[in-house]
Amino acid sequence: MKHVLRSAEFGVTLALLLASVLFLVDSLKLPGGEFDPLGPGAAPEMVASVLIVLCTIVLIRSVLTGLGRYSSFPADPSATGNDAAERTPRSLILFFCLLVAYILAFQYEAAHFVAITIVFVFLATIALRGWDSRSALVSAAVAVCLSVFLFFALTRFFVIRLPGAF
Amino acid sequence: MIDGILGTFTWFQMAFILAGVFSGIVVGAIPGLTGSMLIALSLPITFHMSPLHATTLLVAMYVGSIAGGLITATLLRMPGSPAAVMTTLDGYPLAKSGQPGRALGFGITASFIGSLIAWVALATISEPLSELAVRLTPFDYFALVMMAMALIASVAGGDVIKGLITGFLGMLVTFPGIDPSGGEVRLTFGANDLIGGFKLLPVLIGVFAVSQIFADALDMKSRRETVEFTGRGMFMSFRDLKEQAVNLVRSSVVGTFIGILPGVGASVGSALAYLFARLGSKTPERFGKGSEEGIVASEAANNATVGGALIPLISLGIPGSVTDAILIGALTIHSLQPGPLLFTTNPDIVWNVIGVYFVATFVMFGLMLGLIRLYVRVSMIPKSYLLPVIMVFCVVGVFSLNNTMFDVWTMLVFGVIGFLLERAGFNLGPFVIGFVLATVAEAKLRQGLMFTGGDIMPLFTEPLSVGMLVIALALLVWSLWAEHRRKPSKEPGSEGLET
Repeated sequence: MKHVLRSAEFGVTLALLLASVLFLVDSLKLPGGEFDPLGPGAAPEMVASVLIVLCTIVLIRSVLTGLGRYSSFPADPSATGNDAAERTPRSLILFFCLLVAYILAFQYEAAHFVAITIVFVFLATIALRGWDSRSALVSAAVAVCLSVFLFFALTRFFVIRLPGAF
Repeated sequence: MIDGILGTFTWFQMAFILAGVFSGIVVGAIPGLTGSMLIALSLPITFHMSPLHATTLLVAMYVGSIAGGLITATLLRMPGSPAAVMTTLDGYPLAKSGQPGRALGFGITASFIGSLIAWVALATISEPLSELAVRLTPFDYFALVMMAMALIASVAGGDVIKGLITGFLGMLVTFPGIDPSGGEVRLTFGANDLIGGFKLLPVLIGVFAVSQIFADALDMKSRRETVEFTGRGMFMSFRDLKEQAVNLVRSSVVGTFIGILPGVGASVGSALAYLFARLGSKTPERFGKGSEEGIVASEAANNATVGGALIPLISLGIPGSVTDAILIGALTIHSLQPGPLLFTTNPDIVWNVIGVYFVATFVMFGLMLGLIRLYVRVSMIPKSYLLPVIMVFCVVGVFSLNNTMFDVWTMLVFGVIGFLLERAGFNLGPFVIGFVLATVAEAKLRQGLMFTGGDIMPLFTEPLSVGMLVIALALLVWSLWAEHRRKPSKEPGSEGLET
């Protein structure tokens, strides 16, 4: 039972169910239509209600029949032997943290666009690839070329305001 | 039509076609990157183009991306795009047996012929279908959207109930913002940023590009089995063509038909054509061991679905695949309303799409044969170098839409949602179809009710709408029954085919 409750299917479906309930409750507060018989809340109510029913079916089904069927991060079915064992979410977590930091730096203009993009691309490549001097050199070159190219293309041709542009 | 084709022979148009097909093939050849991803990421660039050039570039990318999947499916046993999964079964064994050129040559020629046959259907069916579609009542249109939803949930593969969930979830996330009929603000939960609703592009890039990047980042250590490429035997002989003629035509027709069905797409098309080819083969035992018939069936069908899928997009405004859903978004961004009236309001765009598809097919054939060595090299670039670069394009592309960070965070959130949904065995295809069609469905239902003074009965009594609803219901019941009879799948990640 614990295994089912921790499964990706159960967790995601439960989250969807809660979100649907939230949408349903909020749409019930909407007024009726003035010019049409349905009003602004009817469609969200219908869709949220259907979602609640469907999510409940999946939850009940996964508890009744799916005991032990799913794991939290199922390996790719094409994976075999050592490959499957090597797939851990470590690189993904690192990549995700770097991405959030990049977006925050972008939002708050922590530094020039070129600088934050070089740092992000370089570190993200290392996070995904692991450290070795050749990879570091290649990723540094890629990071510098990409950042400078993007900055000039976007600010000069598309007149987009990037951190450090004006 | 002739004007549409001739209109593509300008320097600008040809440059866009070449760039689109080339980048499509490159992306299609790199496992983990898909045509949907490329097209979604290219949309911000098309803002600065005319609608004509934008549609040219995007349609060319679509044609190239489906064809490009063949390369890695054959040489690395990794389908570059989901549409090339069936090609892997025979392409790799044939390449491994010392004939990689022959395997690729059969695939490229089949892609070319499949696309051409689908183009004939596109050029001849679209206009009459759109003339029929103009006569649809709002209730008929609503029923059509419901049928499309049922179809993609039932046929696109995987768990039917989960398919419906993602479809309805896609619909649900379109509701926050200003109600298009009455102008009231709804479901914003007090967030001012949500008054404008979730924009199409951040959601699409999040669900298709970012979630895919996350999935790839989880899978960095998978090893590739490679076959050394030699170009010997790349061109199909007349004898080969004669032997494969029936298979080519049959698979192309199957692919075109599957493409026309709303939301089903290339993966199902190639799988079905492969099945028919095997059933009709004199040597079915060779399938899965390097059969040329298997390669031809899969590649002719998956390329034909592109042309087939453009038919409902142009005629009805209903996406034939996930990529078409993104194309609908592109047309909307350029103030074009896909659907039956497009032939009347913007005939230049419609005939341009049809003309570009035709010319892009020839360009694809030429580029695949001429630059195959380059694509093979590009497909070997490690994902660890590509993913951060693509991620930067995602962030900057989405930011550049409105110069707002809310769109970037929306993209990230939907990327996480898409990743988690896929990990939990939910097919993402219905999500996009639901997201694109929800506004149409709601508007048509409300419009229909206004016409009838609040009477819903015509939806269930008019022959066309009731027919489509019955088909939708029958499809769902049949798929649930079929699923009940099947042994439960053990791998949620393996469920469903990306369309």
